[in-house]
Order: sequence, then structure tokens, then C-alpha cells
Amino acid sequence: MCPGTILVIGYGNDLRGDDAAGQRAAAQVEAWGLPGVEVRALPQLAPELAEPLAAADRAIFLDAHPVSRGHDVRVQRLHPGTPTTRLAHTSSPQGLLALAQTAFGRAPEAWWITIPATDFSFGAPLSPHAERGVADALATVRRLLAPPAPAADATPARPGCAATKAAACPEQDAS
Amino acid sequence: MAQRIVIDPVTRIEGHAKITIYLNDDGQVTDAKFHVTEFRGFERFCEGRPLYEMPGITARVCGICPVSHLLASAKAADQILAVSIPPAAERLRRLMNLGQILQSHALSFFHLSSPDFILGFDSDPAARNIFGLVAAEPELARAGIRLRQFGQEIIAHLGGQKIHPAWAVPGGVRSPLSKGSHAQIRGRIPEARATILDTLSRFKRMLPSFEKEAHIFGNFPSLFMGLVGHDGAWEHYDGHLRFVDSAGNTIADRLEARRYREFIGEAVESHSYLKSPFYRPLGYPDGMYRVGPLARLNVCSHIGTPLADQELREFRDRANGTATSSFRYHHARLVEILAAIEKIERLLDDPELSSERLRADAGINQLEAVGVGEAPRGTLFHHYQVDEYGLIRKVNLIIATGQNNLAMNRTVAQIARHYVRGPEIPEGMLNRVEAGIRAYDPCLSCSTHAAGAMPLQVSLVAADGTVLDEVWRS
Repeated sequence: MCPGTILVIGYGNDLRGDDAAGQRAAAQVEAWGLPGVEVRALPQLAPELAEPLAAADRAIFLDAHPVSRGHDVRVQRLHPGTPTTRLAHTSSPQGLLALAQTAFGRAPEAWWITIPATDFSFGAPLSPHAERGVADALATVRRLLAPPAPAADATPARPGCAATKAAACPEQDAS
Repeated sequence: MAQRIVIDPVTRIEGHAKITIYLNDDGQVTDAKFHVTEFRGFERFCEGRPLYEMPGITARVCGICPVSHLLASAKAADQILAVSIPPAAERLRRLMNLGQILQSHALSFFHLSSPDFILGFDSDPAARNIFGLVAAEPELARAGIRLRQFGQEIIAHLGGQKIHPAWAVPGGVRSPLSKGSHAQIRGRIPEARATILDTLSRFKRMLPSFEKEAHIFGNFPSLFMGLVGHDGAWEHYDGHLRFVDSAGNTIADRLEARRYREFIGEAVESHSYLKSPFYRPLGYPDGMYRVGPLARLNVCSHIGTPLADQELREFRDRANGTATSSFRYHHARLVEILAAIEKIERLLDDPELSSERLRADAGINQLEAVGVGEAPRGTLFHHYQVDEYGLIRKVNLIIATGQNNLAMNRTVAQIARHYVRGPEIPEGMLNRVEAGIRAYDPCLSCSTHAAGAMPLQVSLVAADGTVLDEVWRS
């Protein structure tokens, strides 16, 4: 992964109803085909994600979150967890950021978008509540993918690395 | 008054379990039990499903070793179709299984067990994890993460995803290895080989300082079982089953998996959802046997690749022949990672790998079959019975961790006898009991076909049932 890339990770069990919401949203982001945006749709967070995370400028995690009805999509700024966070075959976003920081020297700016989930039945489709949540989450992803305003001391793009181009927002492309 | 120690939950293993240690009136350890407290019931809810769904369903038994279930299931289904799968499909399945063994062993060694070796069994438990390893040995930790990533990527290149790839199917596999994937896998081999050779070298230098652990971590005579090739070579996908004893004598050979009920019995204990398979001719529990990396290195005559064979000779020299200490599972895992890397490289050179004939088609031609393979933790059996329409009538899964159940119980008792003196659980004992279990790299999700994360609980119990001490670690 080149520096400057935005890594979008959607995770959850795609056989357990609304738990698939994170993967579903990630698949939609991938379909946008944005330059500089790498997307992974996964059943769970595994420790080997630490290396690509360390190489990314920004990261967005998409996950389902069990709630009662009426809750909205939530966006949380993430920071690396404590280095005692337990990591084995699976992890939390904070644990992965901590591993990226500790093992590979840096962790990206990161956000955690949680999609309200109410039905985790085997083989069930997304509930209407989660469907609306995915749409709201995608709107949030678009906002987060929008290129930051250039700073006066902004580092120039690394020559030859296509991913250093700021990710374009589909809404902006359309305008 | 006799007493009992409970360790609950056990940490840095896959699943959820607890340990109970029983003391007599003199405070001496009389027995120990490793309880697996989860239940899922895959064998029952697969009944009625179409055979063609079984590889995909049973891969969901586990998020760590789904490939092992996928392949054992597909092999059972091949037999029900009564087909020989195309050579390319067999090689591709082998490639995926080697990637699985590599990634699983790397996770076990670098993420779960090496903090004990690098930081010490008595170091602060809060720091005895991958972060502590990074702080102490950053290059080793990064290399370990990348090594596991390599194994996962092989699986993803073939199956389209790292976890639960629905790729092996009855009669073969769904898709070939693309040229791009072939090149990417080959390109990572030099780094992977350098990592494992360096790790082996470091581990062997550390071994003299763990002589005490090697002496008490499951060091006892038992049988060992594993697949071997027709020439007796190390095998992970096909071949026949062999049992050897602790003196290295072959006590049963050229056993066919489909006749497993003749030589493997399955005992059930009320204290655990984990079944206790045993070698039937010796009865229960005398027929205790071990499977997995240690057993595979004990049952094979050779591995068949130059670097791994050299390491196998050294492994046997250090163990004075057959390795009887379960502490040596760690060393065996590293030798098997090296073997996997060498065999992956050979497979990539095989022109048959690029053939486009990948699947044999047939209907239901047999009503019963047993698929067998070597999962990272040991031999895995999938036994299916179907009706004439291919609907599953009965399923029996014999999982590696279950086959090590008797040995894990004995390991816990051996360690406890060494460390427990009285009605309290000393910290050093807790660490070592956990590490003794961890040497087997048990996968409890697989072994009970159960779900959950694995914390540790230890209880110390008197003869009258009074719990004298308990320790929990989340």
C-alpha cells in the first residue's frame, strides 16, 4: 500500500443478518472505484491488517453495532488502544491501530462507523433498519473521504505513486 | 480434606475453557481436568443438508482453520461422488492446505506462544503478549506478522478470501491459481524462508533455558498418530494413517481413514463438551494418543525437502529419538513451517498446477465416506452418510484438539503436581498450566464445533468439593 492511501475496512459475519452491514457498506465503497482508496470486506479483523494500516494515511472501519430501534449511525474518532490489548486471530480496531503503531511505527487517522443492527438471525437479509444504516454510513464515508483542505506545509505527493492523489468523492465528481 | 484448584478462563488459545485441579487431604495433586464449556452442535444441524453444501457449511466450524474443514469435507464428498479429482485440483488443494498450516502455526508461535519464550514465563502477564514481543524483538515480531500474512494470502489468492473460502467443492476446486497470484506467492518465498530459518535458529538457541519446561510440559509416553505418504514421508493431504509409540515403534500402519472406527474410539466425559478419542485396541483411557505437529514429525520417516529434513534430524537428535514432551510442539511447528514453504515452492514449479481441468462431475454414487486430512493441529476426519439424493443423514467430525484431550489433561496434572503445594494457586503455576495447554495450540471452536473467545479459569478444589482458590484471566 502506498503512502497517502485511505484504507476502508468493513467487517462482520455475512451469514448473520445485520452483522453483514459492515461488509455490505465496504463492498459499496469498493464499487465506487475511487483512486487512492483501498477497500477490504472481511469476516473479522486479523492482526496482519496492522501493516497496511501503518502504511495508510487514513482508515475507516465499518461495523454493525447491536442496538434497540431508533439509533442512528455513529462515527467515532479512533486512537490506538493500550498495548496490552489482547490480540490473537481476531482484534478490535483500537487493537489493530495499537499493533500498527507499535510494530510498524505509525497508525493512521482513523474513524469507526457503527451501523445500527437489530437482527442477527442466521441467513437473514439486512433488516430495514440496517439497510437505512448502510445508506447513512455510506454518506458518512463520502464525507470522510473528501480530501482535506491543503495545508500550507503540505507534503508533496510522492512521484510515481498514483495513490498519493487525494481520493475523490463521488458526489464531488458528479458536481 | 481434599481440595480443588480451578483455572478459568485459559488465555491465548482459541476458544473458552477452564481447568480444575484436585488435591487430596495432604494438599497433593491427584487429578486435573481441562473443561471445554462451549457447544454448537454442527454434527446435528448438518443433517438434512445437501452434500454439495457441506464444504461451505463445515468451513464455518472455525475462523482459524476453515481450510482444513473445507478440504476434509470436499474429500469426503469426492468419495461419495466416487471420482478421482483432476491432478491440478489436488495440487491446488495441497497448496491451500500448506498456506493454512503456515498461517496457523505462525499465529500460534509468534502471537500466542513466543511472548512466553522471549519475555519469560514469569514476566508480567500484562506485557506478555504480541506488544511485549514487539517491544523486546521488533524485527522478529514484524517478521512473524508478515509470515502469517503470507499464509493467509495464499489462501486468499486461491479461494478469493482469507477466511471461509468456499473454493474446494465435491470433485475438485472452483478456480485456478492466476498467473499474477502465482508470481506474487513466489515473490514472497525468499522472505518467508529467511524468517523461519532465523526463527528456528533463535528458538534452538533458547531451548537450553527451557529444559525444565520441556521436562514437565506433557512429558510422558503416549501413542502418536498422523498421515504419512506411501513411502512413509511427512504428509498433510493424503496417504494413510500410522500410529507409533514413544519408543518409535510403529504399532499400526497403512490404516485407511474410512475404517477409523476399527482403531479410534470416542469417549465422552461429563465435565467437558470436548470428546476424548482413544486408540481402540488399547481401550480408554490407556489408548491416549497425540496428533499435530509433534505427532507428524514422530510418525514420518522423513519430510522430503532438504532444509526441513535437516531440521527434522536435529529435532530428533535433541529429543533423543521420538519426542515425548509436548513442549516440543513449538519446535515441531517451526519445522513444519519450513517444510510448508519448501513444498509450496515445489508446487509452484509443477506445470500441472496451471491445468484448466479442475473438477470432476458425477452424481451420488456412494452413500458413505470419510474424508481425512492434516489440519495444523492434527488429523481431521469428516464422516458423512447420505441418502440416494445426496442429503446428509449423519455426520461425525473427529477434530485434532479432541484427539489431544487426554494428553492435555495429563499435561495439566503433570504441571500442577510440579508446582502446587497447598491450597493456593501460585502465579508461576498458572502461567505454566496455561502454557502447557497452549503447546497443543488447541482450537476449541473446532473441537467442540463451538464459538467464543478464550479466557482462562483455574479452580483448586478439595476432596469434599470445596473450592479453595480460583483465578480468572480475561
